[in-house]
Amino acid sequence: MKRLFGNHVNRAPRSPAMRIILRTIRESIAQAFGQLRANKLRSFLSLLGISIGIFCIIGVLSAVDSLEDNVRGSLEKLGNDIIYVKKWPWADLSDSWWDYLKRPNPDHSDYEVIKEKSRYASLTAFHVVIGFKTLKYKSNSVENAVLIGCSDNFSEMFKIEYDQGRYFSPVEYHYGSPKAILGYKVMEELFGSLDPIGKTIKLAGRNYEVIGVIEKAGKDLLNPLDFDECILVSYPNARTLANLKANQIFDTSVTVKAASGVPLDQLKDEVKGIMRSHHRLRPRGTDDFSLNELSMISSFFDSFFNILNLLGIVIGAFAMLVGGVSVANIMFVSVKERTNIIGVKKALGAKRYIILMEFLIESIMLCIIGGLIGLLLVHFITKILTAAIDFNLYLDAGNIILGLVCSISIGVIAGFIPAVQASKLDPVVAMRQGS
Amino acid sequence: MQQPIISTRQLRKIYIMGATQVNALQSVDIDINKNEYVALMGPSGSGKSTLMNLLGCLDSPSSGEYWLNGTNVSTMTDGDLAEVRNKEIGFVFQTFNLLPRLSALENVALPLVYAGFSKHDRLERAREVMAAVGLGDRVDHKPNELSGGQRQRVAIARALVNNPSIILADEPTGNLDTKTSQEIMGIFEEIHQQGNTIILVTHEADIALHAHRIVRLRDGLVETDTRNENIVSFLNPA
Repeated sequence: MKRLFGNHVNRAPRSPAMRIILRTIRESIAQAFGQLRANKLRSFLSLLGISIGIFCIIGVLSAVDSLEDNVRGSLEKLGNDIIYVKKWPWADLSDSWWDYLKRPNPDHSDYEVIKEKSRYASLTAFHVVIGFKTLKYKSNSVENAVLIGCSDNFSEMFKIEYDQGRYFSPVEYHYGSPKAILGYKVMEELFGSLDPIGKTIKLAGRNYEVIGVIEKAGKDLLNPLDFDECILVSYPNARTLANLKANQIFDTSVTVKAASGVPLDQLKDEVKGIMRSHHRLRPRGTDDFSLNELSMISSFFDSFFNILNLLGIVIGAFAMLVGGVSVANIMFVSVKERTNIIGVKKALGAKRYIILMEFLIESIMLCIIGGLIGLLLVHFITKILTAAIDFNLYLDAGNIILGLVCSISIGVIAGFIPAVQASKLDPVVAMRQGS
Repeated sequence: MQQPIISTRQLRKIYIMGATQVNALQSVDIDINKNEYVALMGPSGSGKSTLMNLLGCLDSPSSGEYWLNGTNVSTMTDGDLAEVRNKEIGFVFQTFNLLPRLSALENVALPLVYAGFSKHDRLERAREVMAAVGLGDRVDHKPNELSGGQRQRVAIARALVNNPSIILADEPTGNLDTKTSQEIMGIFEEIHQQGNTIILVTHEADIALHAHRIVRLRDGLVETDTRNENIVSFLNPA
């Protein structure tokens, strides 16, 4: 005892500020958990708002992200570098519906002209959707199979994969041989477990030999290239099946793929010129065809997803507001309860910023815990939904970080006023309270 | 002539309570030298608590000067005052004011946290001081697991841990029984013998008799300032 009192130990503190801050952070985190443990119900109710807010925002953003990915992935199959020359535009039907209706369908001659004249195209194809037909194999039949007449490079254009068999050979194509390629579902219904290749089916009273089966389409929400319920025949053959000159009734497309390195706009300009001169349009006359591209569909989806996102953010923001208010409330109570301790700490030399930090960190911790609960909820629900509806919903790292950043921000905002109040307490007055 | 460790000149504190002004401290001139053991006495309302708060840098005077260890602290900002409290002053309160969630050792080490010592240094130093007040075997106990006397010892250890220039004890025996009070006063005497400066605020005459100098306050003024001729000591029984 004698040795110690009055003996001045002169150990110089090393980087004191950092140490104080670290210590305060550690203590505040412990304080936050203590607060949670001590007042389970109160804390839980307060955190619920934050949890629900984060759940709404991140839940909707995750759902939209997943949807968007899925839809975009599907649209991608249509090709970023492909122009669809069609009668109808994909977007902007605006007021000239009647004008569009009066247009001719792009036909085989348009295809041939573009194929011959375009310098920027790497590939040009043509297909005509003729309509629903009934197919028969022995006693089995399939109704409403979609009959499509395709040009020779249609398969190459859309990178069609085959479950079995192949596309039309050049000779088969040239002579319009009675050969057909089936979609997966059509094949299944017609043949069951039998091997379809080489079998003869009946289409419109004629015999066709099955030479290929197209791979089953994926499970995407949107599947623009779903051939499952289709039957493909060569264009020369299709011409003998239907009067394609009466072209108003069919849906025809000339598809033009840009050569590598050629901007789509450049190809568009070229195709436009070719089409206009081929259709002998006057310089001031309007186009009688539409040049469609993927971005037209994507931009529609963009605005759709933006609205969904906005909805989630608005709902979530209100929930977060409520959550923030309840966290602020819990923090005010916390300051009241610990007034005496704050006073003692200040008397012992704790500066304002230490007290401020202590409460701010506590508030942030509470909000992070609330946010994590919300994120966990989103995680489990995405897992359940993915398992239940066979569609890949996921919570990605970006959204987790966003959720945590939101929580931290709410923590700072909600905790700020109580923390400032605590830091400004007069130590004398504070110590007198409830000791 | 030795420079006093505490020196106040016309120290004045006015509280404004709504429309009325309360002159808690009129004008106090007091000098306290190093290693003095001073008792501040006075009935309630005499201003002794106010003076103690000012001397403890817990509050700033309305006017006048307060020199602590050669620096004028009467014009300091909040943050600077916190630092002065941390480095120069050790507080012992009537109600102990220990943090309930921390162990005795952590309570003692708390001022060192704000001084920025490393954890190792803090705990080592705190352990030493705990041992010195006779609580070497109680370091891991929480305050509510200790008796009143033990709690006050923890508080004294906390006051000593930073090697302060002055120890300010505000009614340190107010919540303790006679026997424990005597123990605590014994510790103060030892601390004083080791060269520490002690200011004891009390309204109990027998407690004040332990001090070597007694300052009586009345109505915010120093009434008497006398040497204590019959010091009561537990260390050197007469």
